[in-house]
Amino acid sequence: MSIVETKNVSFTKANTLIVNVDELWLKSGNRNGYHKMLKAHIKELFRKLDLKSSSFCEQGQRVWIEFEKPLSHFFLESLKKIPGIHSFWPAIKVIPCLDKAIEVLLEQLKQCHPSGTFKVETQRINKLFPINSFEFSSKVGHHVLVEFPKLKVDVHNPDLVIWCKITKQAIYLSVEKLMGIGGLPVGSSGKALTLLSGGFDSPVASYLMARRGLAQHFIFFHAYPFVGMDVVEKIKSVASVLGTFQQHSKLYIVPFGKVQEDISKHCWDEYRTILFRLYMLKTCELLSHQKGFQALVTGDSLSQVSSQTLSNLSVLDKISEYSILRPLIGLNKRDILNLSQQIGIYSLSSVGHDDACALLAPKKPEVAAKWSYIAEFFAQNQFETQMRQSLKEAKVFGISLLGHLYEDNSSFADF
Amino acid sequence: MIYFDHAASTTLLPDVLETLRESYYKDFANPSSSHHLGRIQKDGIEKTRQEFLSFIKANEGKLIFLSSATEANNLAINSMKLKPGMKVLVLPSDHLSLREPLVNRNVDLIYFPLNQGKEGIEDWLDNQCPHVDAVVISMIHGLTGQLLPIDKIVKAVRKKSKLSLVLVDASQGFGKLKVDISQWGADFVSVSAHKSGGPKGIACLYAKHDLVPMLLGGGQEYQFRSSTPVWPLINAWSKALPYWEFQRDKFHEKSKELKTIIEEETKPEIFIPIEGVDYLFPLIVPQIQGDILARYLDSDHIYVSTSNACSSTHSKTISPYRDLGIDPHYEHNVLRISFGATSNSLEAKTFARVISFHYENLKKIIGKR
Repeated sequence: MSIVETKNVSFTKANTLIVNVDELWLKSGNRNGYHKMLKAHIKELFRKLDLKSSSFCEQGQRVWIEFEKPLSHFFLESLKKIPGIHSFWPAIKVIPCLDKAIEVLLEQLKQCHPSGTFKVETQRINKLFPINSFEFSSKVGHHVLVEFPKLKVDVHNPDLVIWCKITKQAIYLSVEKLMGIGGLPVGSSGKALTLLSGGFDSPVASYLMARRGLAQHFIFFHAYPFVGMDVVEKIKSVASVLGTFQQHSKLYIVPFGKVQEDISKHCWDEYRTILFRLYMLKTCELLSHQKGFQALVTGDSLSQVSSQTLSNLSVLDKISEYSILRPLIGLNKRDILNLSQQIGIYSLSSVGHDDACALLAPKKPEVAAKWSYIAEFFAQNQFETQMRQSLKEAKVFGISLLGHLYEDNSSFADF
Repeated sequence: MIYFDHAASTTLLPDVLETLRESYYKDFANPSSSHHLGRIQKDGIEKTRQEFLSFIKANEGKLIFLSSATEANNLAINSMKLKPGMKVLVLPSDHLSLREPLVNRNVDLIYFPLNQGKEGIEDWLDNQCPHVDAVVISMIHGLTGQLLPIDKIVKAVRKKSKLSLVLVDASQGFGKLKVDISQWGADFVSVSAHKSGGPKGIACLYAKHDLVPMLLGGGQEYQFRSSTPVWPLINAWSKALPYWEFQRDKFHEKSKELKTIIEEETKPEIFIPIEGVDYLFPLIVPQIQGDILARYLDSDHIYVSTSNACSSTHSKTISPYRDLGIDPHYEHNVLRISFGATSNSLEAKTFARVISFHYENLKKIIGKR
């Protein structure tokens, strides 16, 4: 599945959207809540794009939305990123009359210059419609063949599928079925804080968790002054893409160089990297207490680097108050890079930047951290004041679901 | 705040600021208008033009005002009518406005041997200077403060090829040092105002020959640079000339004093002298990346430059310092210090103390372990 833009044959006048909700059948008990969240997400997109729907109706696993104006390409592309949407058809609504449907269909098809093969697929939801779906399809197909003699029918692997849905009030015509990212409506699985690092992994981790319905805020630990400001711009651009899978997301940029400096001065060199991570998690905890996050998300992949060995990850699990979700734990780097490309974030992640970890990293980092040393170090060096201070100095950005970042420094008074 | 980045841009001199305020307020008319309000500006511009010409000791040629040294350098290079394959003498890692305009012209660049030391340079001038069609060069190297022997270079070049054209960007030296064009024998000299107490947005280009205009329009500035001349900027900038005429020696004394303070009060390993002017010089901080140290200073409101030196971001690109006589071992460990008219010894002392402190501290964290 790729959410990178596609060019399809499409109706320019499509003003109705038929949305198929994903995985909803699994959750009959919570269906109402799920529907509500998905609806809120879709409506937020309307609001941002200044779209007005003339009707919004849920029917089982489908949502039918009618608009006053034809649907824009940008809107359809944005819709692909809403978790919980399995697929959707941009459609034209006509009165429930075969002749009218054919007339409108041919007129729209002319503008698309169809070529190759096609088939017609009809779904007769209103069983009282005078002809059955097979007859309906063949009549439509006949007229298409007459109008476009170069087109051929292929029911198995057509280039173009003409979808017809017959309801009591209308016939809906569509030539494209667009796939969403599926999964669960964002927010339906809770709220978490995702640690972004500037690499390829963490954005992919965030995407995978968004698909599982996890609402997320993002946190970046900025090792200023060991690194410059370039990396902040990079993180902002990455977060602005990740925010498009969310509804109301935030990015916290936390100055962390001072804490890293203090850690480096007091610890054994080999333990620097793992201790940096430990105090990042602890800082996340402080933020989570205040903001009510229920878990932390990281881009760890087992044994990818020395800080991600089983023993080092276990040490962090042991000391973390929150569950650490690691959706990439079993993925290979190549899988991660493929996903990164699919969600359109690869090029952003590959921008070079200063790397504080490399700079401060020990020559031989510890791969099997001793719990006794970590526990003792942590007991002696809580660094809570420094961590609170860094949160106080954090820059906060709100992210709209269109990916616009705006400064939001309202929320940090109490650290 | 301690600002030691005056070579990037510096504070406006008091007279300049005063004139700027006044002139922007009252000289609103267009200098090309034929009425009285236009004429007084036009007269002012012509008078100032003469002041500048005599300030740089030009006996012949024209001087035009334009928007920046970058524009001046582009215009001068455009007027050299360089053909592909021609040879041009340049400085390694010189200002981009002297390098970029040459790139598309497919000329062969010959690099002046800045890193060869005094004797190497002399030997080059006496024995090795090749035939070149043009010289495009800064008066002072912006990264190291090395003062180029312009007159000797021009002489050596002209010995080989009489007709070679010479462009000198004097922005870093104008005012602070005497610029004597009659001695140089340069064909084009560009100067930006904002490096020596003038406003941004104004510069001048001295030219012995006709220029090939890049902006077409009303034909202002001898047809060479169409655009409404900005009298308030020219007017304000002209106030910097008497300042430097009278304060030049004092400024050099001061700069020498400040440089000495920094030399004496920092660790000997930090201060590695390079022969150049006292008001602009590199500091070398072994083991510590210059940009990191600069950010530490930044958080103490001390501002220096790591400019186009080598940010650790682009560590793969070749550092300019290799070509500038600095040990390649230190190429990522350079800061540039530059003083201005307002710099004082208390600042230099504080600077020396703070940089030593951060240096020691950082060595513990990221130095060789």
